[in-house]
Amino acid sequence: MNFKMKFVSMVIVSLFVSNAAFAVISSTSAEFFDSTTEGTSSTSNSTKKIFSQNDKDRLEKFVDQNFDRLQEESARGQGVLLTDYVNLVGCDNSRGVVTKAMHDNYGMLFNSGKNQLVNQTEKLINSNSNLARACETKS
Amino acid sequence: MKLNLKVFCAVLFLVLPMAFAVGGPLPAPSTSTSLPDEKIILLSKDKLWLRLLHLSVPYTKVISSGFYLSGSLDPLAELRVNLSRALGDSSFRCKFPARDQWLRSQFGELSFPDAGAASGACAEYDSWRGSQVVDSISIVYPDRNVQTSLGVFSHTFLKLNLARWPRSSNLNIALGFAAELDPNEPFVSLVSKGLFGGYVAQFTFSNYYTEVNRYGESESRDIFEYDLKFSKSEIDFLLKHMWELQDADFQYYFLSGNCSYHLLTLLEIARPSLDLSSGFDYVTVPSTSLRVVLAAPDLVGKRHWIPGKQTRQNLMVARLSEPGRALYRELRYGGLAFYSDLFSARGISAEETALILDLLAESTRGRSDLALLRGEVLNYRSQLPVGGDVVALEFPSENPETAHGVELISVGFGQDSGRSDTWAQLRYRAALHNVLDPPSGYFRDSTFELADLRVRYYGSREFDGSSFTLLNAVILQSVTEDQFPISWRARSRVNDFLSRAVWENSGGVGFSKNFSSVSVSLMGLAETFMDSREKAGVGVFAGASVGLGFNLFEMLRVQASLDRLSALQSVREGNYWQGEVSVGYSKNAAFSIQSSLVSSWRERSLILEGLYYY
Repeated sequence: MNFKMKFVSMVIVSLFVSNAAFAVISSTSAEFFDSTTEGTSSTSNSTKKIFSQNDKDRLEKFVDQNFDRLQEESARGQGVLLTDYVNLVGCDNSRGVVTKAMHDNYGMLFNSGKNQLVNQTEKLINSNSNLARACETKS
Repeated sequence: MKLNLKVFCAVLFLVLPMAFAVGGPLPAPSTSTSLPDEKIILLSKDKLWLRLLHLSVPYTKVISSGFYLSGSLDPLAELRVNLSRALGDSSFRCKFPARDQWLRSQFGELSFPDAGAASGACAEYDSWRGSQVVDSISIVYPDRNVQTSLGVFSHTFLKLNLARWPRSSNLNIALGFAAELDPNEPFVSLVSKGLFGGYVAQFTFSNYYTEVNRYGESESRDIFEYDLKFSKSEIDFLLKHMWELQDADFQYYFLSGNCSYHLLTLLEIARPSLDLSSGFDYVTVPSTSLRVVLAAPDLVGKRHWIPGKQTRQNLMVARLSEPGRALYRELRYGGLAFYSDLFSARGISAEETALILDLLAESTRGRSDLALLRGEVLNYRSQLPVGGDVVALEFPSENPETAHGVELISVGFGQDSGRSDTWAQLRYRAALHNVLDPPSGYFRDSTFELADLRVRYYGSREFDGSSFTLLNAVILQSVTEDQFPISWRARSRVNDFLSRAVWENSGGVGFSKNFSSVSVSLMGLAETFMDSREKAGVGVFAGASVGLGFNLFEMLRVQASLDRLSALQSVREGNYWQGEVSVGYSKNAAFSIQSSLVSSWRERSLILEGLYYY
C-alpha cells in the first residue's frame, strides 16, 4: 500500500471514530403519532377521581424522569418543570395558585416518595376548593 | 505529492454505501398509468419531489417496504404510481399527505378526489393532526463537552413546540434521527457497519424533558435553541411528511447520512427554497450543519439558552457573597451540620439563604451519601417564600455562532536545532480543537485533534520532519472537593513519513485542577516508538508529565508541558526530557497565530504558524 492510500485510510478511520459520536442509541417513540398523547387530560369530573388511567400513566412517566428536579422546584415554588407538571395535571396556574400550593404543601407531596406524588397531588387538589376550581378550568 | 483527499473521499462515499446497502429487494412495480408524460418526466426531477422520496443522494433512501409505491428507486416510476393512486384513491392522503398535497399543487389540471371524501378512512391521520398542533419549530444544539465520547462533536435535533404548551415547556417534542446500536457490538463490526450503512435508523420522537435531562443534567451541557421562522403552512407540510415517515427505516452512515444531515433534509422539505444539505455530501459535522442553518437567509429567529447543570451552579455560586459562599462550602463539602438558624447566625440575608439552599439542593441531587442534607435543605427551602430565579437566562456571548470552524489550514515557519536552514510548513487538520485555538464554543483546557497533516519543506530543498497525527487528545477534567474525574491524553503520530517512518504512540492518565483561568495537570505517561530505519528501532518508555495552561483576556492562551521519560527498552538514550511551550493568540474565530517551542530528545524546534479555521 503506498503512502497516499495509507494516509487516506487513516483519515477515514479517524473521521469515523469522531463521527461515531453522531449515532445515538435511542428507541423510536410512536407517542408523537398518538393523538391521545399528552395534554388531553380531562379534569372536568374532579370531585373524586381527577386523573384517568392515561393521565396517570403520563404523569407518572413525567414524575419518574423528573422527580428530583420537580422536588427542588416545588420547594422553591417555581420553575419550568413545576409549571409543566401543573399543566400536565390539567390545572390553570395563571395566577400561580397551584404552584404556590405545591410549595406550601411540599412535605405532604414529596415526603412519601416518587411513587406517591401523583396520588398526593390528587389528594391536595381534592382537599382545597380553590385548587379544585383551578384544576377544573382546563380540559 | 498531490493529495486530493476530498475527491477520493467523494468517490469512496458515493460508491461504497451503494455497494454495502442493506435491505432486501423492493416489491415489484404495481401499476402504471397514461398521464401527461412530458410533464411527469419534468416533475420527476423536481427537487421537492426528490426530497419527499429521500432520493436526492443515494445514501438517504428509505429501505423499508411500503415507502416506494413503485417498488423501485426511480423517481419517475414513483411519480407515475403515486399520481395514479392519488387520482384514483381518496385515501391516498391518509398515508402520504405531503405527497398528495404536492401532487395536487403540481397537477391542478387533473381531477383529484375530494380531500374530505375519505374522512372516515383518514380518521387516524385527521385525529392526529387535530391533536398535535405545532406552533413553531426550533433547532437544538447541545454544546460540546469532553466528559463523554458522544459529546466531542455534539448533536443536533429539532424541537416541535406544541400549541398547547408554552414555548419554553419541556413537554414539547424532540425530533431526532438516530440509529439503534447494540452496545455489545464488537468494535470492528461497529466500524464497518457504521461506515457502510449497516445500521438501521429512524426519525425518533421523545419528550423534550428527556433530552434536557440527558444533555443538560446528566452530561452537564448547555443547550442552545434557535427558533426557525417557518410559516404555518411550512410546518404543516413538514408534519405531513413526518406522518409519511413514521414507519420509514433508513441506513445510518456515521459520516454522511447521520442525524445532522437528515435534519437538514427535513428543513429543506419544509421550505423547498432552502439548500442546506448540498455542502455535506461526504461528511456532516453537527456544528458545521448548524452554522449553515444559522447562515441561511431569513430562517433563524429568536435564540434561547438552557444552561447545563454545571453552568447553572457556577452562575449561582457567582451570585453569592463571600460569607455565603463560605457557608455553602462548609455545608456541602465540610460536613457542617445543617440547622435553620445557621443562616441568620452567620448574617446571611433571607434572599441569599434561599439561593444557598437552591444551590445545595442542586449540588446534592443524585448523591445518596448526601440524601439527609438534601432532605433538610428542601424541607427548609419550602418554608421560605416562593421565588428566586436560579439564573437570568440571557443568551451567552460565547455560543455555537462564535465557535471556530472544524477544519483548519495553516502556514508556518520554523527552525530546528542543529540546522541552519529554516523550513516552511503547510498544514491541514480535519478536526477539531486545540487548547491554543480560540476557545469560544469549545471545551476549555482540552485538546481533541484528528487527522492532522503537516508537510515541511526545508530551505535546502528537501522534505523532512513532516508528520501525520491520527489522534491528539488531551482531556482535562478538573477535580473538585469531592469528585476526582480522570484526565487523560493520547497521541498517535507518524513522523518523518517522507524520508523515514517513525510511528509514535503515547498515552497518559492523571488528574487536573482548574483555578479560574489557570489549569494544572499531572499524569503518568507511557510512550512507544517504531523507527523503520533503525535496526531494532523499537522503544518503550514510562514517565510523568506536568502541564500548565492559562488564558489571558480570552485572546491569549499559553500552554506548557514538561515530560520526563525513562526507557524500559530503547535504542535511544535511556532517559530524556521533552517539553513544549506554546502561545496562541486570536481576536476572532476565523484566524489565530500560534507559536511553539518544542524540545524533545536532543532536538529543538521553534515554530510560528498562522491558522485559518473554516
